Amino acid sequence: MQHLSRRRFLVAGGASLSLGALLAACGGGESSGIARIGLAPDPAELPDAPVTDITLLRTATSLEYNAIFVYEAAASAGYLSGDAAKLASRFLADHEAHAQATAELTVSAGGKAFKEPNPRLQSIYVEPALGLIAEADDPGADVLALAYALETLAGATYQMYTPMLLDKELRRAAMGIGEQEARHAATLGSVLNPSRLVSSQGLSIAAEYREEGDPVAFYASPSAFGTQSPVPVTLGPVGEGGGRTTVNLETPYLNSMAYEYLDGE
Amino acid sequence: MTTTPPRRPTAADSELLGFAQQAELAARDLYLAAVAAGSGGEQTPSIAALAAHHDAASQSISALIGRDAPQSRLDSVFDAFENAFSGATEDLALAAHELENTLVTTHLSLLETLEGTDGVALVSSVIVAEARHVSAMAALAGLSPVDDTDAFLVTPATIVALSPEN
Repeated sequence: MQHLSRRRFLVAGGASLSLGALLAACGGGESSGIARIGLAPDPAELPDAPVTDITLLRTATSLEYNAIFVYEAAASAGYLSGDAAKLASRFLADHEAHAQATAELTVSAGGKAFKEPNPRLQSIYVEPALGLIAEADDPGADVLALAYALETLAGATYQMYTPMLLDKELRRAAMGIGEQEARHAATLGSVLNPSRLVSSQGLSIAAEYREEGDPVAFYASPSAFGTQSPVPVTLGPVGEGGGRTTVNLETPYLNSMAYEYLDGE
Repeated sequence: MTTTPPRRPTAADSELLGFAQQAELAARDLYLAAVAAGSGGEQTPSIAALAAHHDAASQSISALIGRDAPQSRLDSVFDAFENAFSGATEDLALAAHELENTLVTTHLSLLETLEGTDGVALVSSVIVAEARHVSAMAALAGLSPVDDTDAFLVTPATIVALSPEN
């Protein structure tokens, strides 16, 4: 590896500057008064992307469409059956209602609804997760694990967006949906881990009520507060090393919001 | 024109959050009474954890509003639920289900009034946790997520938000 010392950098910089000055002096035509080497295109301006109430509502709608996509994909593939399929069908209907509600709120706030899955979440979470599930030994169990994580993420997203909303009436409406997402996750938690509904992790309680060993992946109630941490979900087949892939789902923030300028792209 | 809200609780916010703290302390004491009575059966560790959840919510509100925190429970709530929380497991679970739905509804109503975003953020995180408590208590009551789905997912229309006036 070649190291560029500060001394060599200054020498090289001086040489470049001298060459530039020479080229500028030789150039004809109109001069802007600023020495310039060659022609460079004007840099593209970044789009104006304020995070408004409309942006937050559009992003919430897009997340609902991510959830709808997952439940529809699981149903199409026949991954779930019996009671699990019935529960997933109810959750799908709830997300369709939530998507419609947030879309209507967007329009009421003066914006245009974003009626498709969040493209970034779709590409970095949903599609890879569904790919792993397709190869899993027990796709049905993995779909439920993904649903638990997605519902937790959805609740966390509304929780994060609520204090960002300027319109106080929207705060209640948003959190009214968010708490339903949290109930989806809790219901799945109660099914997946019925023996321990409420985790003792992180709580100051008597030793006799604490769980022994490591925390498990599913609880109806995992913590005293709604989480803002990444939500891990382990999916797919066992790899050569004996492990499985863990995907960490994060709430959609500045790099994955459904900004209004996206409508023009 | 919409103005940027304050972060810290206003004086009116502190009053509302103080009321919320009293409701949380009543819930904590009810779950502690259930643990003492052995009402939780095999899920007694979960009931003890729920007491700790409500205590944590109370302490977080206290940290936010400081000396304005009343540090006392809402006796009307405690008295209304005390017998059921000290009874059989199913009685406890159904009463806790009603209590948690009431708390969720109460906290949602606060969001329309609170000005400071720190208070809104805290209440929102408590709503998520207590919404999950509702589903947990539906399961403890022996209800089926498939046949009794609404008990897990929907607040009954009969539930009314607590308010300082009632």
